Amino acid sequence: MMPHRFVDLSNLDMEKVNDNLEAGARDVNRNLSKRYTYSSLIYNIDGITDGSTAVLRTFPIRRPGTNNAVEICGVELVIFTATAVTWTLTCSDSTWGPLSLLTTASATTESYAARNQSVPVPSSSADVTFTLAASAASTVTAGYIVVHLRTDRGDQGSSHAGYTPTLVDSASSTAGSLLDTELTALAAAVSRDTANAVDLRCECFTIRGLVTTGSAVWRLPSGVRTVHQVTQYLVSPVATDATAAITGTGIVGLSVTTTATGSTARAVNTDTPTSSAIVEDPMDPNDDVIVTVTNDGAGTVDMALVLLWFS
Amino acid sequence: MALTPFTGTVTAATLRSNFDDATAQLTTNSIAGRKDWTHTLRLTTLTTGLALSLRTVAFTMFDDAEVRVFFLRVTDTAAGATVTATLTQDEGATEFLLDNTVSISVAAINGTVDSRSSSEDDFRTTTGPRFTLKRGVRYRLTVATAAADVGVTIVGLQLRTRRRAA
Repeated sequence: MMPHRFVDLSNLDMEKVNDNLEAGARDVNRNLSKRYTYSSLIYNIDGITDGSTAVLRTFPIRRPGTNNAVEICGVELVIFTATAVTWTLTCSDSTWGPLSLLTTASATTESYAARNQSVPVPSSSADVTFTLAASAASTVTAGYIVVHLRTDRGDQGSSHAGYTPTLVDSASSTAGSLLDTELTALAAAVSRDTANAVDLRCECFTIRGLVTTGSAVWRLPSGVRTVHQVTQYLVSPVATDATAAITGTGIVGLSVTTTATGSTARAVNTDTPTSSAIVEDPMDPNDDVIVTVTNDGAGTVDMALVLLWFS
Repeated sequence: MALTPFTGTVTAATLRSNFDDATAQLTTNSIAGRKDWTHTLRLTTLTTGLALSLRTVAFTMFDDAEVRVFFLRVTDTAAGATVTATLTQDEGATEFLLDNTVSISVAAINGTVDSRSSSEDDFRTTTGPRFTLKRGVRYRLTVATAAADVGVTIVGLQLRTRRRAA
């Protein structure tokens, strides 16, 4: 922040002017350089078998908007199973992976593998998917996939350029003009920082085997966040649908109902809130962000995934 | 930032106005860069003998994040149960939690009990401990129940990252 304030009836000290220009440039450049934000999705894979329908072993992600820069920067695979087999995770983008894991034949011993390789999430209408497959008969007693996301808040339609001030000295013959130029450049850089505000994060909620009229609820402490979109994926017999409702202080109108397209296909739907800014006390459960997935239909939901995008 | 251009004379008031505007907007941006997010573990049932593999989740941090709140919420009528959630560094290491054991618990569960009625799981206080989960380190959330089985259990960590200069 600016170290000096100028008052009337004192000499104009150009070193102080320069100090302020440099401090402003330093702050705004530091802000703009902190362009990447990270978050993690955790897909639950409890109960998956080598013979599970492919769609139940496949985990999708799409970015929330066309201007959002989202990439996957790491994947962790954790499996507990009673059989020693090789489970392999492949990506729909063939430049990634695969990630293979030879499990320990113990339902209580963790088998773990990770791959820190980047792959873009280029579309808001088509999915990047990760699919699990086993080399032999095996049931995942417990397990999960952690997908790490990196988003770039500087690449969303706004310029990301910083600012380097030209300093004023005793040889500056047109100080007013020069100061105008420098302050205009500072103001423009500050505006770019202000515009690059959407630092996306994502959280994932998984439920399997959700019976008719059943529901699953997650609670997130409110804190400081702005909810942008919910994406729901659903796998279930035809004529079953499910609703993912996101409620809480500051959230208005965020609910998505997805109608399943059969037990071998993945249906998807999205919704954006009409109001979403949240600044509440995370210690007060009454202010929690509540994610509720309800089975509204006549058949069991084989798998529902909810991706909640926020900044 | 509302710029006031100089018109012939460089005045202190104009300089002050311009730099104050920049400072105010940068301060606003700095505050806007504080964003919270959550890691959660949800179980529909938690029994006393449940294998560790079914009541734990581990994750590697890809960026530093301050721990804000560590909370536990249990719904059941088993008044005799004590449920404990623990945050540890994976593989038994402790150096990145300053050798602290970070745990919270709830007891006398008869309905829904939320640990956030206690300040012990509030890591934002000026007098209590504060710590940061470090990039590249794998951490683990674990939950267990003693004395009785319980129903829906949610364990969560609220984390904060700062995407602007503080």
